[in-house]
Amino acid sequence: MYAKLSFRNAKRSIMDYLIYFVTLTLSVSFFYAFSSLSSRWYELTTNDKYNLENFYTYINYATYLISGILIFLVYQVNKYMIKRRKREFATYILLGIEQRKVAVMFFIETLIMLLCSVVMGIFLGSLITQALTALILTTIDSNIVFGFRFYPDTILSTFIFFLTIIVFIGLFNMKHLSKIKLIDMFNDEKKTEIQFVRGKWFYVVIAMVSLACFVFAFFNLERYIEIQHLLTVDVSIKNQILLQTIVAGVLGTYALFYSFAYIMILIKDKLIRLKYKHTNLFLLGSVLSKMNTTSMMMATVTLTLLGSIICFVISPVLSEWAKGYLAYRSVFDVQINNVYNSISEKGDLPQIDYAEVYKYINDSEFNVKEYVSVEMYFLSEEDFYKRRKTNFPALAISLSDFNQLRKMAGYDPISIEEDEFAMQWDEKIPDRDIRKFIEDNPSIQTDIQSLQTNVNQYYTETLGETVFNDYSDYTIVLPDKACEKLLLANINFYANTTKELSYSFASTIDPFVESWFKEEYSTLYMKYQDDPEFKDFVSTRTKTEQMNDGNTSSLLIRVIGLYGGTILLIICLTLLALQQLSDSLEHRTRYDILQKLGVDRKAMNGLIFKQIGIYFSIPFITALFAFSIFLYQFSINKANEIKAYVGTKLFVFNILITLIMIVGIYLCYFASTIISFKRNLRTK
Amino acid sequence: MKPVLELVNIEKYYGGKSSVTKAIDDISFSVVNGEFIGVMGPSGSGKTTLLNVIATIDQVSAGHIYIDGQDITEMRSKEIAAFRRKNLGFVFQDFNLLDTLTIQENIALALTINNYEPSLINEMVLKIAIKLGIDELLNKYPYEVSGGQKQRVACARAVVTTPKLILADEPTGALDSKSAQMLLETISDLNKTLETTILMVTHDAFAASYCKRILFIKDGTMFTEMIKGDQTRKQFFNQILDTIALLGGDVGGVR
Repeated sequence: MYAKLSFRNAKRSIMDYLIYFVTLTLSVSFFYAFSSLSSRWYELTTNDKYNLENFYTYINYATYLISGILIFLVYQVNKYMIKRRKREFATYILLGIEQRKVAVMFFIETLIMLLCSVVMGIFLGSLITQALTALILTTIDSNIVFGFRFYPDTILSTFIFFLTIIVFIGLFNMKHLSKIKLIDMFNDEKKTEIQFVRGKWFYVVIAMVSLACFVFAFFNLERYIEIQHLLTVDVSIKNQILLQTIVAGVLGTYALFYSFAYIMILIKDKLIRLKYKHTNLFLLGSVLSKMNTTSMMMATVTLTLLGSIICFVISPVLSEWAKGYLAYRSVFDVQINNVYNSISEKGDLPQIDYAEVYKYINDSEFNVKEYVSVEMYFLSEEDFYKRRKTNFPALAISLSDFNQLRKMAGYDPISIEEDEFAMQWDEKIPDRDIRKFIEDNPSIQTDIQSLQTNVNQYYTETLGETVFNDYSDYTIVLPDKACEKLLLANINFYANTTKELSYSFASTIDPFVESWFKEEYSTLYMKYQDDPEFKDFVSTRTKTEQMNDGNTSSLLIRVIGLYGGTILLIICLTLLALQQLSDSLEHRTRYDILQKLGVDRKAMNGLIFKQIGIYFSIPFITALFAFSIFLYQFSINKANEIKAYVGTKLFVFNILITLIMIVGIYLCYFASTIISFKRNLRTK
Repeated sequence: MKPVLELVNIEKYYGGKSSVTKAIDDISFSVVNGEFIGVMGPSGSGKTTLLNVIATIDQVSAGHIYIDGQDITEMRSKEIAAFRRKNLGFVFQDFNLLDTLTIQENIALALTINNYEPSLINEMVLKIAIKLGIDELLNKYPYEVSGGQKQRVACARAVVTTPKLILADEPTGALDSKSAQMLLETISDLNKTLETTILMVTHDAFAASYCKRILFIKDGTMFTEMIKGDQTRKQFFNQILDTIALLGGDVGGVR
């Protein structure tokens, strides 16, 4: 009989359960979609250039981490449902139903709702899986084939995961409901808290602390972004600064909201005109009475929202960045380079002959189409000893090697006169800076001769990062003759194959080169083997592997950003809506009084709109403000990288789309909260 | 003298086609400016229905109600809210103060809803608060003051806008006898000094004895009318008790 009663209750109160249902369904669908990627049944037909093992592992971790947050959300929604129905439960108990049985009834109701939302969520989740698959396939340039599929193991794990949460929370609620006193059930709506527990100065000090935190966070963020790409600064220091910034920001936000209500009251008393304008007094009273108790929640919502916006905006940017960087790095199918940093004596510099490597690749099914062995020189022998990061020398390469590299990368050859030199610049460096540099340094002096250049003799078409010496943004191109007597710094090998390497073959090249080098240059190897830097003396990169790594990380950033952003947004909006709806129960009598005093329905609707609007807009505006500061710092300091790897247009487009989307979702929640709020006011 | 409130043959039915309950069956009376009138009757006699239709909270089935010459039964719902806040003041049994506002703000709210000039509000509130002896409570919240004080705040809120008519629904219902007596003296004083017109619904003979005129209602119709005239309050009280006994009410419960 009780099961029947709970079933009918669940059916009847479907509107009341709307928020519960929506939250659960969305949570279930996202959980399902992301964990289905790691299902045994999930088959992605990728070509043999890709290996996504690592990707799935990380996705799995992220899924469980973020789902942990969902437990908190489900708990909050449950709490609201109990609060909303306490009086009803009290009536049942008064009618003689045992308290424990009422609790069981509520438990069964939530279970029914869970079943519905799991079924809905799995359907919705399958659609999201398709969207994710499309995202993965476009990232790795494959064709998209849509198919609607269910993954039994994922369905099972989704079900078990949410069932565990619900049973756990349900048991907790049952205990709570069967212990609570009847009188408290009846009087729960009548509680209000307006008192300020501490003195005026306490709140003023808190407000000042908050301000100080923000100023600190602002400058720290600036510093962090400035040093973030510098290799000279230790990673632990960077992390420390980042951590300080985040902690200061979080602390500042909580302190701000904590002192907010009190500061508002101080302001309110000063602005008589505003305070006494029509129903403003009522509005201020309602908002401020709750602000005191909800300030911590509001701060949490603000921070979650900020997190969500950053996830949404930054993840596609970073993902494009990773891809752009990939295009910049992997120009050639195979590239092998070595760095002389670990060699301490000039005489030890090896004359590497890559014939063996050429043979190894050419003998495979992927024949070598074209290749070049690039020799890089010191302009002056003294440069060999310049080992500090600040004065690392730029190296020189010969015109013929340079032209061969350009040809392999698909660019036209260049020409220079006997007494001229050209320059290859990193594409990240703005033209303005390059021109200034050239104007300031129009000539160079090698050990042999001096050469001239002019502002038309520089090239920024990317040839990969191995054409530059470490810590150096340019390389000098000399006529072949001028290089003859210079000291050789290192020899790099670049090759293109007739067809793209498969992932399995590509991954054998690096071990081959390593063992070949160890054998061929054993004396050098013996001498330096204890030097940890020497381990990386020769490094091999293949386009296939780099594409795989780059695309995987790009995808990972994008997917996790999407997942994290969505979940955070759902959490933030649900918390806001719930707060308003549970308050609406308390506001009911207040609006009743207002109606009796002669305020018409239209004015009341306006009041409800304003009241909920204030609660919804405060976190939004605060988060948007914080985000614009973040964006300002980010784009100012990373302007060149954004331009080079992402493109300014795409960057702005990304931000706009994301913000429009968030505002859209926000407005939907706002509208449905208003509807539910009015509904709550009407029910007696 | 022109009546502030005039009821002409009002009727109120509840129910549908099959069964009709008559809550009010042809009641007519009028209240002139400055009157303090009580409406008495046993439970279910139609007192509250009567108050509700006058308060524009409910609508009559037939008849007309004129407040200050305006027929409220002919008004559209949009006008009613504006009419109510301009012309009527309310005192309820359960105070109906907003727990989110201070006493001062609760009284001020009635003024702000009527769009009074903000700079005048503080002064007006203070004036009425002194009159009702609650000026020391102004900065407290409702939960910090006693029931009697709350009801006086409600009175202050009702009279501060100087409405044409104040409707009081069992104002002493939730108060102890001492607080009730103090409140009734306050209301009666307001009636005398400010010439406020007050219509009070009560089932308490003691409370009713403060009125100048009492209407007795039974089964939705007017049973009798009593006028205090030159009697003392004590004499009037005894007369009321007699009438209650005649009505078949339980006299044992009253003092």
